[in-house]
Amino acid sequence: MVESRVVSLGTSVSGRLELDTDLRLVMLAREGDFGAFETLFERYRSLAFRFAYQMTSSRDDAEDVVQEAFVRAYQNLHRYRDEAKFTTWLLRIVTNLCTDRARSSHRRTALEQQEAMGALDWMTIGTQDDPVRNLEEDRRKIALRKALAALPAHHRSVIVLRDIEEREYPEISKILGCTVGGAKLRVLRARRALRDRIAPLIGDEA
Amino acid sequence: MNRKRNDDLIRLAFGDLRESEAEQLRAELSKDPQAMRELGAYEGLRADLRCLDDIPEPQISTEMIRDAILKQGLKPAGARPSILNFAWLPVAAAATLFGVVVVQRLNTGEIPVVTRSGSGLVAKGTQSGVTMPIAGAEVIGSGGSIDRPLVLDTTKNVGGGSEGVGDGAVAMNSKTDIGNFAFGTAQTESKFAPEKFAIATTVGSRPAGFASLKQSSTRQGAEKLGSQGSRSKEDGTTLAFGNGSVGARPKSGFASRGGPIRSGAGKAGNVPRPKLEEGMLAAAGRSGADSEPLVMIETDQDGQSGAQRATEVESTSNVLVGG
Repeated sequence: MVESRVVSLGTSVSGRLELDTDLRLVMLAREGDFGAFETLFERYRSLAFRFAYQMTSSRDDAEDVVQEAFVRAYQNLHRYRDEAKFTTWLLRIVTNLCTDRARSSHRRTALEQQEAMGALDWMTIGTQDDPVRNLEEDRRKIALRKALAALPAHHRSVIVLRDIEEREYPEISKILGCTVGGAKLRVLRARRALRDRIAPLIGDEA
Repeated sequence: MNRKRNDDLIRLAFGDLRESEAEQLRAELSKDPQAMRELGAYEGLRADLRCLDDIPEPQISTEMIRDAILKQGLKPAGARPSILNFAWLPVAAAATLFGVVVVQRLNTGEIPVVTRSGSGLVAKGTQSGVTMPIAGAEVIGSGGSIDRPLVLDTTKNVGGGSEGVGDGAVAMNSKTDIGNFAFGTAQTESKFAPEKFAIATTVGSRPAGFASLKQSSTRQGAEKLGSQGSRSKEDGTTLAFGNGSVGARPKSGFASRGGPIRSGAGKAGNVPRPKLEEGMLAAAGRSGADSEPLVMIETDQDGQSGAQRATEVESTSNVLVGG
């Protein structure tokens, strides 16, 4: 009991310190210290890229999104409100950019993904020792990627946030700009939609 | 399986239920093989989603970000919100809409020529020959077949200037390339009958439009045309014509007997002032492609009755007026 409280306290303090550090960096960047902003970029570029890659399924597109997101973040630092975490604010920018991009080039992206996945099928490396299980795992993963890519952007973003990046509902709600209940509802609908899309792809009739 | 049960399955499979709720639901589902199969499918989906971790390393560097920021232009931190930057958009949209409406109305000839007579407003001379009544106005005729609308300004800005036009003076501003005229008669009771009229014309390829003043009451009113429009005031006949400040390129001319042809163009204060002899009025007509004759008339007084009469002095369809 005492140990758990200490751990909880430690997490809280470290989270607070991180928040303070981010805040401090943001304030320095606002005052013109570009080095501070570079530190923020170094710290969170992987996070932003991971999310963008899951949303776009394309390395180039994800890098474009990340670059654009950090440029926008820098240009709008004065709008950043201190009560939210910097990562939450950053992911909100990335989410919006990905959604915009998905809306504008939905068809093109889908075609490119299909072509890319087909080309990479033969060079997929499995994680299992059993080749048959590797093939099955790859098949499911490819199907999942396709189903995810075929989802509308607003469904895809909540699936990525909650089930891939494993973000908590309060943070998701802040990223999406809705209530916690609304975020839960969106996640539920997105999972249902994903299930409906993936079932025919993996031959699961359940 | 109903929707609620399906939603419970999803929550259970993805770990969104509390421990006690999860235990209770699992106990209920254990008796339903279809629900258990569905639960297994969702749990597999969750596991598959967690396996989507083959993310490549990002190649984007700090230098790229710096270049991108510099390329887009560094904005000072703490800049004001950009809402004011977009405040002009509705204004621009409204102005564009207004312009479109005005142009459409001009092209359809819905703007009439308006003048003021002694008793009130008179509207006439619409583009398509259709006159439009105006509140408090009397429609006295069509302006003929002009292809551009004429706007006759009788309020305060004759010829785009600031001088007023009183009774007995008519100013007509054209917003297009046709002639721009302001003319009128200031009739002195002793010399002219009330039926004095003046006609102005445009020349060149543009067809003519005309407006006439039916009745004027005082000479003073004509004098109010002032410096903005040209005027010729001689023995009660006042002729004034000016170019509006709307950027029109006048092609108007005015013919007088034995005198030079004068152009009615000009900015405020620079408008030529043609001299007219007593009783001489301009005749109007078409020129160029329309081939309507230009008629110059002279008025004189009948020896027996004392009434005014007009005599045609010259007529031609091939006169270039106004240079």
